[in-house]
Amino acid sequence: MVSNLDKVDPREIQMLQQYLNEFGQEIQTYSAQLELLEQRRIESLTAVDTINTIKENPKNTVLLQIGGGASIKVKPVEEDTILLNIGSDVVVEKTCDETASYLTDRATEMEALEKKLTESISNMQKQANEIAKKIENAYKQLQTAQQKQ
Amino acid sequence: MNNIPPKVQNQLAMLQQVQQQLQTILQQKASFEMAAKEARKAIEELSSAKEDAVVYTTIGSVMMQKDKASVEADLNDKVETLELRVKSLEKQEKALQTKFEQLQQQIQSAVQGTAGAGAGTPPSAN
Repeated sequence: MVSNLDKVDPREIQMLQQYLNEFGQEIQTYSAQLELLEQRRIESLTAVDTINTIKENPKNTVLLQIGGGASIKVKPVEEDTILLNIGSDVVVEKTCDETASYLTDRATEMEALEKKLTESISNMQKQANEIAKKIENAYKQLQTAQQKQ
Repeated sequence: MNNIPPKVQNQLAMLQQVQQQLQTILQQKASFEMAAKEARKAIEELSSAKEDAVVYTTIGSVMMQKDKASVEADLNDKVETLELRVKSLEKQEKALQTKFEQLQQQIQSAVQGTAGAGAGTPPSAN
């Protein structure tokens, strides 16, 4: 029986390996972005929590960490004022509620982005798995062909 | 590599160089586009703030208070400049893309020509 098994081109395997490497690199980049987004989203939600807590107890002393495990006792000078960085080196003064709403919106946006990224990563992973299977089959075919010789 | 004619080797080196240049330009373009997007978002956010809102701009490690209108004007200028840079990079990208395709074609035809010329000779064993 004549089959394609004996006709595996090593260059094809090399090409598939290259594709696999590229997919691997892309998955790594996307995963790093996903991690960063997750970190920023959690940071935003933590800030919302902090704002709400300070708003509820404005007279309470807050411990401000200054690094090295050291903290200083502080009290908000203006209880309902937050300075918010809105990007492009611009900082706007907002109320606690406005800031919390802005940060919550950003967190929702980031969550949606995270979902998209996760989908993309899973699709790429599927494609990479398919390529890996193809490489494995090609290697097997190559080995069979070599054994026949 | 020894079998590749010097002319083709030269073209291959040029192709790699063009590819690198293209990558650099694409990275720069992406970074400018991101900055423009961020500035547009800041303008959008500022427009929803009150007219007398207190606005600061970061200059190095200090923040300086400015009036909302002047910050908006600065941001609009920034967007304009960034968009111009993106356009200029797009032009460079197109030119490099054309150069890349031309070189690719030249190399392909040179390789095919070499293969055609060597068609009479028996293929070497792999």
